[in-house]
Amino acid sequence: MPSLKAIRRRIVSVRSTAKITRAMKLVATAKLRRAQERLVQLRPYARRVNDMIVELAAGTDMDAHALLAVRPAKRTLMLVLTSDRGLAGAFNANVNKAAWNWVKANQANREHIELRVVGKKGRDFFKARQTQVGHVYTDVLNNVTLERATGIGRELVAAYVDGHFDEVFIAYNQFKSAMTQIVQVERVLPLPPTGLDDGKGAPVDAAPTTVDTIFEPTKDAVLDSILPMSIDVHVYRCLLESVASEMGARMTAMDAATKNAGELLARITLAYNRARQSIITTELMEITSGAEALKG
Amino acid sequence: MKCEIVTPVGIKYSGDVQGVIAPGASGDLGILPGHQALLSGLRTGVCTVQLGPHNDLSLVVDGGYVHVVGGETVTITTELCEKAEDIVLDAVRKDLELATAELSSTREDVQSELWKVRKRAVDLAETRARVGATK
Repeated sequence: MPSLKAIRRRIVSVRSTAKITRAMKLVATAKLRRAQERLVQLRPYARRVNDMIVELAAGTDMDAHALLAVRPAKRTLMLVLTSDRGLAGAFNANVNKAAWNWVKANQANREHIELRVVGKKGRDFFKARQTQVGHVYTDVLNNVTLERATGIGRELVAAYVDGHFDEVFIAYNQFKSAMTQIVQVERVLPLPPTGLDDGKGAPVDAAPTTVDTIFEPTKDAVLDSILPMSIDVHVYRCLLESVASEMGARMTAMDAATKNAGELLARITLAYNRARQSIITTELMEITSGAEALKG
Repeated sequence: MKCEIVTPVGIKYSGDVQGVIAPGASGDLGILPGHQALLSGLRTGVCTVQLGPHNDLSLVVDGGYVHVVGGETVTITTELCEKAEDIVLDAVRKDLELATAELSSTREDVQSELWKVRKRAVDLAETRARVGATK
């Protein structure tokens, strides 16, 4: 049996761990609420942008615009969204594994697949697998802004337009609830004619406009500006989904950790009391037997 | 007709209106009920929502799009939309000075990206100052 002192040290350590996990849970809960709010606010915007794309795409020859034309898929770019910090359950592992499996499954029929990673956890995952990563963005998920998303979106579009890649995918955690996050691997370029998923199921097909729609200044000019913009909005949404998922996963994980710490604490406290009791019993026995011996 | 102004941080306006004057990319667009289907880019400027006779709501919009469907719905999607009461005039005036100074110190060509970005910042600050002064 371990000594009393050792058990006491253990109790203190478990107790302080529980304190940390409880605090982390509270922080994650607050951040989750904020992230969810931003996601809800963004949704109508994402939907309207999508509506416009669907309407535009319906009346356009798909090969007419670089971002819509489907080219034979030889070189692929994959953007993986992970977080910088761990202790978030399976949040990072799931998305990394999904991206990794996708790469393994599709490597054979493509010339080259380049990975770009958001977050240190993704970087470390692929480093451990000796896989080269084209670019790592860090410090993104802890402060998601539209500007940052636009920056990443522009880089994706630029790499696609100048012919470095024939298609662009994003792997991210879609937020369903604090308990469930669903990993998605989605093609964002060339843009699907049904528009990009707005996180609320497939978009309903907006009534394709008649030929009479006026475009100002011209249809091509509108396409040229709105298509890259929709990518930015999509990247922004994926980032927000990831933040919400990260916080949800961390909240759930830390809640479980706090509970486990509580159970563990109860167990070692019991062991501690038993040990204490047995020491007292032994001591008493020694005293009484000593007293008996003196009498004799 | 119905009008909706949507930004990444939520729906800024939604309701029935008599008409909308939007700062189109190639000139102001007056949109009244029954307008033909339209999809146009916007520039930085003031968007006027006509709530009723002599009752206009002026909003600052920074780029984006205006989308008219079926002559009855106007949707404006923009990254930034501000009401007069949300504008802090002193801060905006400072912004305007700063932006103007930056633009005038730009040595690059009028066609260059940098110049355009700075010009847009000046336009935005000017528009905000103008709308902010009406409250």
